[in-house]
Formats: sequence, C-alpha cells, structure tokens
Amino acid sequence: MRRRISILFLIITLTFTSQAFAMTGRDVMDKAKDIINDGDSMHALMGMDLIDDDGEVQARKIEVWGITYNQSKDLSKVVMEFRTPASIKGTRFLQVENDGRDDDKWIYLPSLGRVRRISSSEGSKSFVGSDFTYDDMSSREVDEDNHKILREEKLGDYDCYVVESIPKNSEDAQYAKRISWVTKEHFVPVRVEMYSKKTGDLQKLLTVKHNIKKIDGIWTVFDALMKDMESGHSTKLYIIRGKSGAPYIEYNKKISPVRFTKRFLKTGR
Amino acid sequence: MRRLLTFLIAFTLMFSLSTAKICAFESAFDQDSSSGDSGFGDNKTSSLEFSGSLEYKIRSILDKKSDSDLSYPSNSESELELGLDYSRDNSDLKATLAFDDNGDVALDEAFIRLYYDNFDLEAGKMKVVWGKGDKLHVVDNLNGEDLTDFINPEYLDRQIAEKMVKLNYYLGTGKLEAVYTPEFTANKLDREGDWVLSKVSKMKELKPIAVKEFGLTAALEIEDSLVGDESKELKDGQLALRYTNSKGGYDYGFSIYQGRLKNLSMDRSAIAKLEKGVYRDSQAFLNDLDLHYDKVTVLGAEFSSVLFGINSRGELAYYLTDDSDGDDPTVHNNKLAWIIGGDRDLPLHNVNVNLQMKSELILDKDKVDDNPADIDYSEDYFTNMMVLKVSDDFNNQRILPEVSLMYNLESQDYILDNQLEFIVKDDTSIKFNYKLFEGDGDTLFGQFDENDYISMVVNYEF
Repeated sequence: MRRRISILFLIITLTFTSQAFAMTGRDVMDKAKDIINDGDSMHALMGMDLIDDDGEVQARKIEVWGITYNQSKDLSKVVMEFRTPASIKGTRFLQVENDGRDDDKWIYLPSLGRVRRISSSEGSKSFVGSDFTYDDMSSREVDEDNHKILREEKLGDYDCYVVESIPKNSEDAQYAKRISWVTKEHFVPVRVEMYSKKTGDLQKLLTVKHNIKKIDGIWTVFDALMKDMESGHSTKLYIIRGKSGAPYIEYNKKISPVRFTKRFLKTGR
Repeated sequence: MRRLLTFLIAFTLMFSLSTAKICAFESAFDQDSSSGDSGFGDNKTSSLEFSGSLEYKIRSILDKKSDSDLSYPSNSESELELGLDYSRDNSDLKATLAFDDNGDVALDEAFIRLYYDNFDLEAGKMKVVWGKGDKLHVVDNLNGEDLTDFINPEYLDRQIAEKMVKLNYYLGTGKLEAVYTPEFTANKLDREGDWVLSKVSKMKELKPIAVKEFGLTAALEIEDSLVGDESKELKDGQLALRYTNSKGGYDYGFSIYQGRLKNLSMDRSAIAKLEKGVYRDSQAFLNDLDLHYDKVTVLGAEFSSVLFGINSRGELAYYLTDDSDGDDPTVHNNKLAWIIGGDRDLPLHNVNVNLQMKSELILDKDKVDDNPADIDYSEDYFTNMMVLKVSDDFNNQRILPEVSLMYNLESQDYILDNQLEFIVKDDTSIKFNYKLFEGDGDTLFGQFDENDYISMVVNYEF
C-alpha cells in the first residue's frame, strides 16, 4: 500500500511538474519573438557576404537602427543605410510598422535622386540580391502560424525545441512551413528550415553560429548563414567587429527620432 | 588653361585624401551630437570621402553604314566621374566632377548643406528632382535638361545642375521646400551630331537663306540664337515652393513654380517673312523673331501610395503662361499635364512591371488651330505617352534584363530599348543595349528612325 502510494505520488508529481513546465510550440515561438524584439532600440553595423556556389564573395556593409515607437502595440521603425559596395552606397531604406494596416516602406536610391515608396507585397523579393527576402529580414507575427513542438534535440552546443510552424493563410506566407531549432537557454532559433510552397522540398536553410552572447543584457546572434538549397548560393549576415574585437551592436541607447524620417533617407543625417 | 587648373585641383584633392583622416566604419558609431544619438566612440571627426565611376561606352548606329567598307560606324567615349563628400558635425559639402576623354572637365554638382534642428539650408549648384513619377515628371521644373544625346541617358544624368539656394523646413512629418535660382538654364539641344531634333534642323535650314540675305557671320549668329543657350539675366531667375507629407499610407505634395519654360518660343511668322526677303538686316529679323523663353507658373500636385499591391503614383500640373487667352502665337498656351502609373512585382520569377502614362492637354486649342504660325500649332493638342518597363533579375541580381517601351499613342511613334546588364565583379557592370526608334519622320521618336543603335557600357564604381 505504502509502495503504491509512493508510486502514485511520483506519477502525480511528475505529471504536475510536466504540466507546470510543458511548453507548447506557440509558447516557444512567443518567447523567441520576445527575445528578438527585446530592447527599445538597436543599432548595429552588419556585414552581408553573398557567396556563390563556387565560393566567390560579394561583400556588403549595412548600418541598421531600430526603435520601438509604440510600446503598448509593439510597433517598431527600422532604417538601414548601405555603406558598401559603391554601386549601392547611400541607398537607404525605412520601414514603419503600423497597427491595422500594411507597413510603410520607403527607399532612397541615389540614382533616382528622390525617396520612393515601395510596397509591402515586395516582401518576397530578394533583399539586395541576397538569399534573404525582405520578409526574411523582418519578424513574422506568431499568430500568423500554427506552431507545434516536434521534439527536443541537442544541436551542437545547445539543447533545442524543434518547432514546426505552418502558416494559417498560405497565400500570405513565403513558405509552406518552417521548422525551427530554438535553444532552450536563450530561445533563439539557431537553425531554421524553410520549405517551398511549390515543391514542398527544403528551399532555404538558416543556420546561426553557436556564439550567442548577451550584449547590453540581450541575447544576440553574431553570425547567420542563409543557404538557397536549389542554387547553392549562400548569404552570410554578421555583426562587424572593430579593431578591438568589440562587435558593433548596441541596445537601448538613445537614437534620435530624426533617423526614422524621410529627411534621413534623403540626406543621411 | 582653365580645364587644366580644374583637373590639377581635383588631382591634388585626391592625393591629399590618401593622407587625410578618412574615417572608417568606426565613424558610423561616433557620437552624433546634432541628433543626440548614442555611439560607440566619443570622437567627433570630420570626414572626407571620395567616390565615383569610370565608364567606357561604345555605340554603333545601325542604320548608318560607312561608305568605304559598309561597316557600321561606332563612337566610343570614356568618362570619369569623381564625387567628393566632406562631412562635419552640422554641414556637408558634396561635389561631382566629370572628366571626359576630350579633356573637358565639368563641375556637375557642387553644394553645401547646413543642418539645423527643424530645417536645413542648401546652396550651390544642384540637381533637384520633384514629383512622385518614376524618371518621368510634370512637376519637376527647376533644372534644364541636356538633350544633346536625346533622352538616351538616365533622367537624373540629363538634368543640368542649377545654382540655387534651397531651404528645407520640417514640420512634423511634413516638409516645406523653398528654392530660389538667380538664373535659369534652358534645355541643351544637339546642334550637329546624331540627335539634332527636327525643329532644330528646320531652323538650320534657314542658314542658306540667312547667308544669302545677311552674310555668313550674321547667319552663324542667327543659327546660334535659334538653338538656344543658358540665360544669366536676373529676370530669368526661378522661385519655387513645395510641400510634401505622408499620412495613412499616402504620400502627397503640392508645389508652385515660377520661372520659364525650358524650350524656345518665337514668332514663326518672321521665318515666312525671311523666306520672302523682307528683312534688310539680321537684327530686324531677330527682333521680329522674338526668341524668348516663356514665363510660366506651374501649380503642381503629386501623390503616391500602395493601392491593391501596386506602387501607385501620380502628378498633375497646370502650366499658366502669359497667354491666358490662347491667342498670342508667340507664347505657349496654358496646358494641363499629368502622369498616372505604378509598378508591381509579378508572381513570376523576379519580374517587375512598371507602367506610366504621361498626358498633356493644350488649352484653348481653337485659338491655335487656324494659325500655322502659332508656336503651339500641331496635329494633336491632347497627347499621351505610355512608358512601359518590364524587368527581371537572375543569379542573385547579377544578371539584369530589362525591356522598355515609350509609345506616343496619337502619333504612334516609339522607342524600344532592350537592355541586358551583367554585374561582373565587385562594382563592375557591363550593360548591352539594342535601341530602336520607329515612327513617321515628323514625330518625336520617328525623327530618329535611322538612329537604331547597339551599345556596350562598361562601368566601374568606387
């Protein structure tokens, strides 16, 4: 009797424990989104290397600023400025997230001499010839997908939740589904498989270097590689480091709101 | 001597740049006291950067065969463009020099920009583009155009920089621009090359008559006058205001421009009189001809938005001249002009389709119709030009094919440009064009029916 009570108590405890700490796929992706969106502001100097399947590299450098301008609705503004190569130097891009309607996006092209509005529907278009699309560069709303934990798995240095995300409305999505390896320690996706809507095959693979560290208290990814499985072309996105080795990224520092205006797009000031 | 001096100054600047303190990317994270941004460092430094491009172009006009060996003649030219950018805490200096292989050096643009909290002030020689159209505008009137290569160069490259003072005042998300130019520059036309407009050719046909009537020297002066030139008189200054803003997914703007039309007007009846031998001297002819650039006030409106997934844009302009009644044959009538268009990515590879329609309606045409000497006399007083561009990209934007069509609906003449660009290495591109001009000889594009050409442009940017 005593043994049956002990076993029962153990089962109840375990069940209670697993219920108290069991996460759903949605929970995991919510936490991952919170990590990505953490911080009221962000400023980074990033490198983007476009790598041919034969190893040839085209390098780009982009400076990025981001702020959350509406905390209650979690709305943000992002501005990017291309520093190199010369052919796109001075190109600037501004995105303003809105509540209840499409994001506003503008681009300044030096060859055009003016600021031009662009459509959010261009989200599936390649970002400056890279393997990232504009949509890839921005975060997707968690509510837009159904999320399910497939398993738990150790990937390199990190224990991960493996989460399958399938869009609720496939017409609005780039991919048929995504499978993300989200670290238990940081809730950062370190591997994301993106499956084609046309063929169902693996279309793109995003992998993150396992050197995730906190900067200004925020878990930060320093190196990511996006590979197009069809063409073999890859894009490496990384945070540039200074001569001292310090990465050019900072969070929650004051950024002038003028950065996020068409004035800045045109003048760079 | 002047060209050599300009070149030496530019060369010296370039040399000194190599020893000047050119800030690397660390400057991107320097404290920016004017905007209050945080930074990685506290060093406030000025920075001097140079950039530019080296371009080699070869073009062969296909309809003109050389008599000697029946091969197509080709023209080649190279151009070095050097850009200087000097930035300090609250100001910028930007300049562009263009060197060609004839030894000519031109100061393409050169201006300073001073930054204040709610406004910035610009002064110098600048190109200013107004309007939401895509390289096609009706509210963009501040700069004259270099049409010596017709409209073959890109829109911005055709603009002739004008000396001006410009105030940009920021009111929330709105921007008010005020511009004053003490002079204005008329459109520059080709006089003797492959792109002489038919109206210029007709003027040149007067030369033998002028030689016969007035002698060679006077005839040459008349010829020069008829092609037009930039004006430096104060009364030819320009003034313009523009307000733009964005609200609820719409960008909109209003503008007013006061200046001059950029193409010559004249009293054509003087030409008929010249042909009849009425004039005793060239000055009497020129006085009667009354060459001038019409004063004009342009009231403009513009908008852009994303409508049904299409990047939509439009401009509307009302050109108000001194000929409000439409009965002065020497002055252009008032007219309405507008552009409506948009572009969209298709769900087919990376195809983008860009379609715009530019329309012009000359008002009071009943006052013009029965007077062939009127400057506005034409077959069509309501004209529409369609500009269609279809582009794609392959191999991560390293292969860029593009086809564009400019088609005048009423006169049915067109330009068809087939382009293929390869991004070869780093910032090197090679662009091939096969351009066709079709239409009747008295139409805008058809007049160059024999100028179909192929070209190759190698461009290196730094």
